[in-house]
Amino acid sequence: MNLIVQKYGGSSVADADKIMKIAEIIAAVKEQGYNVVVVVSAMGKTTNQLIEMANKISKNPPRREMDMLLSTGERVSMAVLCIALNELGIDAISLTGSQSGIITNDRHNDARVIEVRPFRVQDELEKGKVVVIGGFQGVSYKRDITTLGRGGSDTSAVALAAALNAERCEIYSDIDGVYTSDPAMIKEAKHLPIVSYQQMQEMSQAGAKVLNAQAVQFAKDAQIAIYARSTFQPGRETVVRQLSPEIPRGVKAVVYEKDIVRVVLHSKNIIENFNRLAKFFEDKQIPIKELNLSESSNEKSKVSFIISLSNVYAWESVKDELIKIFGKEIEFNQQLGTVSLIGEGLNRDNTILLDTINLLNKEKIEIKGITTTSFRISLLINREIVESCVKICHKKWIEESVELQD
Amino acid sequence: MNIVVQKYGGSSVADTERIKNVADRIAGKIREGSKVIVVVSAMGKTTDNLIKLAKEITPNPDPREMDMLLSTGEQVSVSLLSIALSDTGIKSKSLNAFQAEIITTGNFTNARIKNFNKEKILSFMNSHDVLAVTGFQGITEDGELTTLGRGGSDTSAVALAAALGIDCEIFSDVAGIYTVDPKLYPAAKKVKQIAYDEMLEMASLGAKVLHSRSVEIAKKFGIKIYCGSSFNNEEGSYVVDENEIIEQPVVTGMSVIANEAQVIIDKLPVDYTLVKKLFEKTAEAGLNVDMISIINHEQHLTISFTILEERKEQLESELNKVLSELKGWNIEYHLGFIKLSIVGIGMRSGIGVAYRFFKALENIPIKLVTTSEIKISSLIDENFQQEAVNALAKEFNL
Repeated sequence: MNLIVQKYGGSSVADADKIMKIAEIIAAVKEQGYNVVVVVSAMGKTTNQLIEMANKISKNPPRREMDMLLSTGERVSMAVLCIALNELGIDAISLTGSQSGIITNDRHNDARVIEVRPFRVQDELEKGKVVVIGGFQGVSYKRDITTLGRGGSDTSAVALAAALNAERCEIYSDIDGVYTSDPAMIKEAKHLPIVSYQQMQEMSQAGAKVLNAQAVQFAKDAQIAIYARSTFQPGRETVVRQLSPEIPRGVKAVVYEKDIVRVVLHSKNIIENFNRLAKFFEDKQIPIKELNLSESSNEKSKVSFIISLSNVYAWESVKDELIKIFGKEIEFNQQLGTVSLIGEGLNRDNTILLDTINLLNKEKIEIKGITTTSFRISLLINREIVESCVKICHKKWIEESVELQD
Repeated sequence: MNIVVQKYGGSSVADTERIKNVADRIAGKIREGSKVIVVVSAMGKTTDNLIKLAKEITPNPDPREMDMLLSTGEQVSVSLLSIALSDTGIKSKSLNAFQAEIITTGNFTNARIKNFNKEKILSFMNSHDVLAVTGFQGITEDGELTTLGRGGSDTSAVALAAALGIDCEIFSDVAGIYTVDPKLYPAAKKVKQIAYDEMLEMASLGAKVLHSRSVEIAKKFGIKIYCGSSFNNEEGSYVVDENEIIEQPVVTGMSVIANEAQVIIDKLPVDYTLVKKLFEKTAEAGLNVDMISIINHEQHLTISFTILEERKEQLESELNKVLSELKGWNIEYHLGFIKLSIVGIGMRSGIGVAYRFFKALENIPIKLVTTSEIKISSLIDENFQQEAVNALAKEFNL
């Protein structure tokens, strides 16, 4: 029997009524003759509320304890969804990340899935049950509970789809797929019916929340198509899959990230201090998005680390520690954001970059840093002007571009 | 290694401030040179809210899934407590039922603890000053999550203490065990010591201080339970073996269960197989039937007993299974009663307790009375509750 893995995000399971509606959708798929594995996120704002409580208690909550805390959110929604499925006469069983064999490394709060051993899931599927699994969580080889970072339920779903050899993986949220930019911010954002794995990965890494970057990586490795759909408004969808290489056609999406900090270290002994700082972030298990090392003439050189705070729960205390270690040599640029233009071959020539810089300059938008790769141009700016910057870039490169008309 | 086992109830960890307060109390123990295993309940009304959520979907949720759902409450509180302890510089680790290997029977929502992995707990203790263990829950040998029923965190704590052969301290919002619930009788006195058997009677008769099963385990393993408040340092009460109690009053305490219904089934055929079946069904349904009286009128039987009012509908459907084929019998429900009981191991040797009981209640109509070696229970119209409580408390100096 063919297997479908479905994942429902927090807004799709926000209350008992919504959970009941999802149960009906799942029941319909089951009745079509499919085996179904469902991965759920925590209900609505649960995760944020749990983080808030922890922060009230401590500026520096231990990462292991945060995972113990946050993983409860998905356990609530999976149990309630099973209760709803039972109510509809569908035999269902809920399993935690650990019970479903999602084994991760021990990088708490942002763990990587190393292996999936879904024996229990397979047993329950063979009994004809719908298996409902708590997303976002796994278990380390030390038997500690881990979480996979923001959007980690996507990763759970795709990793399970790969391990169970599913026909496809469907990711349901309150948005009917992937757009050229965040449709909540940009009214003119265009829906994308098909997106390549690579483009999606770039978009996710640059901050697009619609799909988690690690999830896209798993899907790509296992060649599983992801269908991104809206839970309550069926119709359009986006398929993320392998596409044959195409002629570069400029900017395909404009994405942003708002919780960015730049840590700058000024020092004479740059290599030694660079190593110390890199090791510090490694010990704290804080992922570095980008780093930049530059030397200048007056013997003082500088190194900067760009960090996203989206999976960092104890930033203030990390900052205090850094000040203790490096004193005046360290400097923080906080309240930053990035805006990224995504598209194959963007740095083939400099036209797009130069036009963008000129345009933003004209609009008095101060650029604090630029990085480019063959698939991405990222601009570092103040957080409060992210929205206007996205609007300008989207207008210029998507709305006014004739090239994108498929 | 000097280890202390403590348990904090839901009201003691109801919000982040209270969790910090509990962390401070534990920190005090650590400074005295002890290591602490702390068992925690879910925060405040969490469990009730989770039950409400499930009941929005169905009145009869699957028990396995209920356990999956409800057991999250304690995991939230142990991790928050561990965060609070770490913030004060104490090496703390939270453990859920999987990690602490609390093995239970497989009956969901009402499982019984079979054993703890003592070695595992002790090995965690080597590298930590505090272990914060989720109360109320366990796992089966197949790795399924279970819960222990209402008040089950007491049992988790006492079972842990028993496994380690040490005494157990239980903290709540009440500073010990009172002769009468202070909400019913503000002048109630705190007892210094109470015997296991008295505590068991009190617990099953409505006193909400301790989970019965925890007292059974304490009795079996000879572990003392200390009950105190997490909000102050008032001296609490000890639940101990009766031989340790020096001053033994005739009556130790009084308890009240409200919303009791008296059920009278009349004109049943004289058929004791039928009686057996009837109580078999109510037992299977988990109905707590008490104060049973069966009167044989030669031609027919009259059975009367009490249940909680809220269980009336459930009882009706169970009775139908047994009695629907029969004719000629009738059933009456009398609502609005309380079950008022006095308890004391001193009754075993004391004479005239029943006389004093009835004398104190002489102006109050008593519907039913049952007695055991160490208690007298009576069924009374709820309108007489306060009068009866006052009279008995005065008579027995409670």
